[in-house]
Amino acid sequence: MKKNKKPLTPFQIAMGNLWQKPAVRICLSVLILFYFGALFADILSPYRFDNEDRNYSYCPPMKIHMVDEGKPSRPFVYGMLLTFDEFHKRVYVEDKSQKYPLKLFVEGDTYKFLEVVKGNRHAFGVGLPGRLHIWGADSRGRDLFSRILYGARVSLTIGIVGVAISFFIGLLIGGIAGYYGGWVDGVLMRVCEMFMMIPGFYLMLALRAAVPANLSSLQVYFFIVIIFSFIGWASLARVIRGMSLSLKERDYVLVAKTIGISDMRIILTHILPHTFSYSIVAIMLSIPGYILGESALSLLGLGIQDPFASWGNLLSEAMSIVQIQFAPWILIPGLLIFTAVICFNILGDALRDELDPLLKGERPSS
Amino acid sequence: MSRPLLDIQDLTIKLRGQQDERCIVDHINFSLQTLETLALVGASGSGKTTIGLSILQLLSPAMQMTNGKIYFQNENIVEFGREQLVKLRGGQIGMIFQDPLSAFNPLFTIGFQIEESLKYHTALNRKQRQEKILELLDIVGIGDPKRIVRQYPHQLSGGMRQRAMIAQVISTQPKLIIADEPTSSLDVTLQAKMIGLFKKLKKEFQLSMILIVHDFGVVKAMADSVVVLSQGQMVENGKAQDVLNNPDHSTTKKLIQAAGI
Repeated sequence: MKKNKKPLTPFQIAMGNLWQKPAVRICLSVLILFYFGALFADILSPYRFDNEDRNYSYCPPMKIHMVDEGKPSRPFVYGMLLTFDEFHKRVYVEDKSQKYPLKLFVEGDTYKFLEVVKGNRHAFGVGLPGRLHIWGADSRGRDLFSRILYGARVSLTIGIVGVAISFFIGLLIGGIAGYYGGWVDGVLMRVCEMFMMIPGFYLMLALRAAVPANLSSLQVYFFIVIIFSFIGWASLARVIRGMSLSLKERDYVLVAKTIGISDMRIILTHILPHTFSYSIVAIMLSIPGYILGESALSLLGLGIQDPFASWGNLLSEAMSIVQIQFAPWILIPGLLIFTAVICFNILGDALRDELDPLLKGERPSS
Repeated sequence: MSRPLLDIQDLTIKLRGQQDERCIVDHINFSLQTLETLALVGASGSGKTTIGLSILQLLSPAMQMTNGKIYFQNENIVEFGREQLVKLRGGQIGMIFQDPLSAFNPLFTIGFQIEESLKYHTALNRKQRQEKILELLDIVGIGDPKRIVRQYPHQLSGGMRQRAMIAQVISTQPKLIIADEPTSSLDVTLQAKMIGLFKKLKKEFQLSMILIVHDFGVVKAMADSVVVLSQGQMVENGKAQDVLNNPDHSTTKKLIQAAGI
């Protein structure tokens, strides 16, 4: 080690150890990829989320050809023709007369990137009148890949925003309850228990029902986040309250009091930071719950409404077995939800192994 | 007639919820003149620290002050409201604790924690505060203060931490310092240095001091007057010299003997 180098904080050491684990690297890369996709959905997707073509209803994922009549060529797709077989089942066949080469930065639907920059270039696509559905299309002939990218914006951020709000409330309430004790503690904890008593999903439905039905998708998103935070804070507040109860007996809290520092500042600087090794782990492990919650709401038609996309409402098309049988690709959003949830869970578990001081001693040295 | 800087009358502290007559602190009276050092001496559990905390009105919720008046600069602290207490704590009366490691929050740098008290009790801006911190650390005898402000409590030695703690307390220029066993966790050579530092600071900052100790060696070196406690009761009160030379009570005798003077 170099001299004069700043000593690593325990947190940095833990992060370094984490990065050594292959599972963590994989999960983190996958999640970064997902979030990258969500951020640049406008550009990465060949179409806007509501661009539809009824001639391509339930079009299966298209094959990208590299060989044209026995000769290698630049990648291209054929146009698809809808036909029916002897059982009146839809079958798409490639129309060899229509050939659409894949282009980079092709002109297409106009969008406002992140609501700021206007543009109409898409990372890849085919020129009109051809259509490109690499992951197939839904019942209205909208491109599933594009909708998944747009849906990721909702599904992947709802967890983080929801967690941020509910943790803010949970930490604050827990910190206050534990620090002041007495009747403040009693009242706050009884409120917590009230929220924990009601089964989460029914509370979610009840709260959703309390919100007017005809809202814009942004408002719905906003309300869902609030509903989730409303449910999520209680269990965290209870744990933080317990920690705060013991942390307030530390000498440095007494010192802070003798200096005359205000109670709120003592809670914020001298108590809550000491709960972070717990709460970071709890945050990681509770994000999947929010993603699944959004999916569940959207699946029931109570979340993000068509034509706007979220992974949950994309999956709601896959509710009947017939559709799954004929168009199995509409399950892809489910697979992505599964992947994201697994990744968050593995990251959370790995973080806990690193940060939880109680587990530290028991772990065999590796 | 003006009162002494600190005048404690009939201070009684009991455990909350207990109806019996046992007191943690039993009808204690003593006073402290400006610029004097008073030593509260007693075995552990005799109520020394409790008295110290009661002067700041920071008793643990399990304890209750059932009787008594604490006059500080002619005002009864017991009747103080919240805001007055905040000004009093740190601003007028500072407290130094026995274990400087647990007295610092391990998550923040020394500089940050000294700055906290400056933020609350002075009108200095950020840059002035930084300068003041360096100056303070220099006064308490920390070499290389620029490096120390950016270090965490666990990176300092015991003596350094104690000095940093003292710097934090004197940063707001309090009138009175309550030092709870300030030298007990240090080795003998450091104790001597620390006593020297306290004497220097007393002169420089015009401090009065309540010294909570069990070691008559420290009393002899620093105190002007002595209050000896035994099981919550005051068994002796007088000038340090008198008490040292003619101890009245058996507790005092034992403590003096233990110190080997």
